Amino acid sequence: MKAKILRIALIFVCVSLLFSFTVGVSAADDKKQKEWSISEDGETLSDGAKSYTQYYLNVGYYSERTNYCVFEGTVYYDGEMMTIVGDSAEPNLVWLLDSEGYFYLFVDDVGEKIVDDLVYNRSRVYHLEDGNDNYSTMDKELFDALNASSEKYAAAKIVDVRTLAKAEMYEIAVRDTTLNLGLRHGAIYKLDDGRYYYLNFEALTNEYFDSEGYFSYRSGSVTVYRISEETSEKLSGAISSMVGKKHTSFYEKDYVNGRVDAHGAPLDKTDSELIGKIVFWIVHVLGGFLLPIGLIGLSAIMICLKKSFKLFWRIMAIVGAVWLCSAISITLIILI
Amino acid sequence: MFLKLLKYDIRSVWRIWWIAAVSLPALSVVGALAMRIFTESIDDPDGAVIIPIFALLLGIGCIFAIALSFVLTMVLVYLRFYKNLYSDEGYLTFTLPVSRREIFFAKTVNAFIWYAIHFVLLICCGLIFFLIVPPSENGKLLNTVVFELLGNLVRSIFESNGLWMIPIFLVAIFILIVYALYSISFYHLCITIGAVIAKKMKLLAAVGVYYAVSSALSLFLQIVFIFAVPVYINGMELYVNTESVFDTGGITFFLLLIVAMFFSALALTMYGLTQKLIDRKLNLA
Repeated sequence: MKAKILRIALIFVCVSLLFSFTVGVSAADDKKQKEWSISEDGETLSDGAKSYTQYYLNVGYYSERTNYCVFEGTVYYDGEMMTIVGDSAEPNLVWLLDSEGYFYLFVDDVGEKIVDDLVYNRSRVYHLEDGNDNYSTMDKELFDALNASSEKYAAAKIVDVRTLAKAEMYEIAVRDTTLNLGLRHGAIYKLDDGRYYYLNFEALTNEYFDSEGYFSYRSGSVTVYRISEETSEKLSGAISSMVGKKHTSFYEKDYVNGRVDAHGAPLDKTDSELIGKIVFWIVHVLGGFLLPIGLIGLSAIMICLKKSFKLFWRIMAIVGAVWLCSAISITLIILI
Repeated sequence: MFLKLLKYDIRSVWRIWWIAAVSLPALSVVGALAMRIFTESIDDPDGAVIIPIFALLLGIGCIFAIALSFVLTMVLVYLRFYKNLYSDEGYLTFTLPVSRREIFFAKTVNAFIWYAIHFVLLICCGLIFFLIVPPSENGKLLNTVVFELLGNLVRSIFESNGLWMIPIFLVAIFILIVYALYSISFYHLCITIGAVIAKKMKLLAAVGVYYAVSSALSLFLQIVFIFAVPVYINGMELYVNTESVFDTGGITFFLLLIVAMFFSALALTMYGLTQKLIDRKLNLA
């Protein structure tokens, strides 16, 4: 008989061992904090899953991020700890920022195409910007019309750059499709005769620019081109439709915790919050109240019925009581 | 009579355990020195490569030996339990003028004492490592950087939890004690069930019962701690003001208390079952 029981027990053990291998599933968590590292030569940045290669931009290109994600991690590069930001929480473009705001750009394959499209004039967004952080988006027709002004030599005028510095000015910026990188393509100046004049920075040689790639208004003369009446009207429309620039940022931890999406837009948590609260109360009532009440009840019954093991059941009742009081205390802290 | 039972149980384990008591601190010193040599020689470009490799292997070997030493304590304690109750010695044990409850309680207390002593010994070994391994600074032989880091950690935990830190610390110690008792009761229950169901090969049956019960228990505990607990904590975060030290400290304390009561209930249940089996089912005739 005992041999039979032993055989049954051993079969049960083997079956249990089989089932034990199926256990170990943890709650799925798609979003994890990225673990950044940089190669020794500084050319490749990795977030633990994807690699980004450094993209060297010519002088003149700048980074003006409209909406960016600040990552938790940092890397040591070029002698200092760099802050890491990206164009989204799952970025194609990543910037390493030093303490002075200088940046190093790293791109993945998609990001490389985006930046190439900007640099090689394949796909650009055209902005008209004033000096007060306002801008409007120009269509390509207007941009081409402005460019065409510089081909009309009859409309050329040589102007001292210091005159331009005092004039009403609007910069023409070409941006990448993510609106995070830019190049100052040129500028529009309204001179004393009330007409708009166009200057193409990209057509100028280096002596017109300072060491950081900005057009220099210190000294010298430059040729500007008068814009036609028709183009001036469209330009006026673009100027009047300017709106304020938005520079927003969000943190990687908010994305990981599910508070925002990859672009920083808040996720509608109403439904998930309600479900979270319902599940919390179910688990709290089951684990914090029903279990200890059951334990106390069973202990009370056993103490009354059984002549032996009374000490054991008394201790169980105390355990249940402490459990229940702890659950009540948690409930009070939460609700008050 | 209970104290006499305890005395003989302690003495029977001590007869072999003293070797571990002497060896472990010595192993800690050797392992710590080996790791220190490894950390200091790894930066030396002119040094022989074999020295840091040997030092690292020796250090890791010592760490493994120290970590596995707990198995020795468990083997000694539970072998004593099995032999004293379920082997031929059991016939003599159960003829002693003490109740079966006192015998079993003495075994449980004996196991707990050895768990506690070994735990203290492991802490001492850890302190030796923390003192010797960090490379020396400013010409001093010993570097206390790890203790400073631990001090900073405790300070930061205290700052985030305030005065709740004291009850939280006390309940954490209580959880350690209760978990040890749960573990002891679990092994006793498995050995007892093995002895009850098997006439021969009782230890093998006990191992089989251990795997069966631990699989079922770990399945249940995994469901609780992997699914229910994160869901519970996530739901609670929607209510709790995490800026308030009173809220976070208080909830941490009461949650830990619930965990302690949960393991207490498990430990008591297993203890009670084992006691019942010893009283009613065990038949050495």
